[in-house]
Amino acid sequence: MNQDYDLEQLWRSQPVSPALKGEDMRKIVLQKMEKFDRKVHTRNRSEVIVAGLTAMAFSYFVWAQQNSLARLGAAIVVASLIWIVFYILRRGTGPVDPNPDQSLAGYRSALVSKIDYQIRLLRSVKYWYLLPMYVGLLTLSAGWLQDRAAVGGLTGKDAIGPVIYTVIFGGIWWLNEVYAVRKLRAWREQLASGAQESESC
Amino acid sequence: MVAEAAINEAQTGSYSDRFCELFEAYQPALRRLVSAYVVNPADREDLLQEIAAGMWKSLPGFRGESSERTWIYRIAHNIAIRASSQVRMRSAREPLLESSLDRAAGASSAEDTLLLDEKRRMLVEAIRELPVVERQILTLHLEGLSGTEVEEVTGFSAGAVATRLTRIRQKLAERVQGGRAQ
Repeated sequence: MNQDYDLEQLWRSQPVSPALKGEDMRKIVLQKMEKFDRKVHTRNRSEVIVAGLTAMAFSYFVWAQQNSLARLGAAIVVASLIWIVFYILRRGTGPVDPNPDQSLAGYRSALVSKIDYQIRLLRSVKYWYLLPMYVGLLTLSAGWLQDRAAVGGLTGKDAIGPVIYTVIFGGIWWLNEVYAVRKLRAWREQLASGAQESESC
Repeated sequence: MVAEAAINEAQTGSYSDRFCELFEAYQPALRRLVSAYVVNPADREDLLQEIAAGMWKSLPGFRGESSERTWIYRIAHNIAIRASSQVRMRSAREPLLESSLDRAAGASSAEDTLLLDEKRRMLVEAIRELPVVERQILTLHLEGLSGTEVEEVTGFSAGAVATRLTRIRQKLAERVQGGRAQ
């Protein structure tokens, strides 16, 4: 391309898709926003319902178990489920997206702060989500194993339950703290490198 | 309550009309802008919708402190930065799917048309490869925004933008020439 070639003209003569009417785009936007709101609402409601049902099931264990260690474990699980619902409803949604109606440098910096918050939230999952419930399940299992040992000895099959939930919890931990954080970090680096460029302007 | 509802409805109606006017007026520029961020036509359409949603949500807060033009470009670039980072970007070369849609732009023969298409493709690819800040400054400049307007959108001083533009143009020419040599 010659230096004197009119870049502006070339840029503006780009072929673009057929124009959409403003009214049509308005409808698309409203539909998308409605769909998004519905999705968030449904997700939150499902989480609360699942947590509520699970809490009810474990409440039954608290009442029905004879072994005090198992009762304690079930009570910890119930408490941790209530805590999780509270945490999700209170903080889980995180900060809203920064207002796009600001300078590019300001927006990028706000976006980096939001990603930092999300990373912190994901890295704390093990403390507020996994650990309390895991401790409760372990205590409950210990109570059951104690009962089993008292009546006739333990077998290898008794370890299946703890192994299964340990694997599940490990998977949830990996998805949040390794996979999701890695993706967010890559995005953050990309944005932060843009911010460094801005500073050099 | 009834009066409040009527005011809200009237406001929503006026925003709605304003949104439609603005979107139609800036649609070609916005479509060019998304091409500087994403390759795939479906991703471009999604990004355009995201930008339109950003305009719709921000419109009630628009007080006219800046021009409509700079306001729209700020929203568009900010949303493009956020959305395009999340889109899985295809590194494949830009398909010339849309080239048949606009063949008339100054081309007199089939050969001229092909040459022009090729030049455009190389330009868009070279712009897409630029670092984000440079890409933003250049596309704003190519859309005909003045130094002061670019300053309003980006937050960088007009002097810094001018210096940067000279470097970007050189870099772009080198990249495009490099691409041709290959």
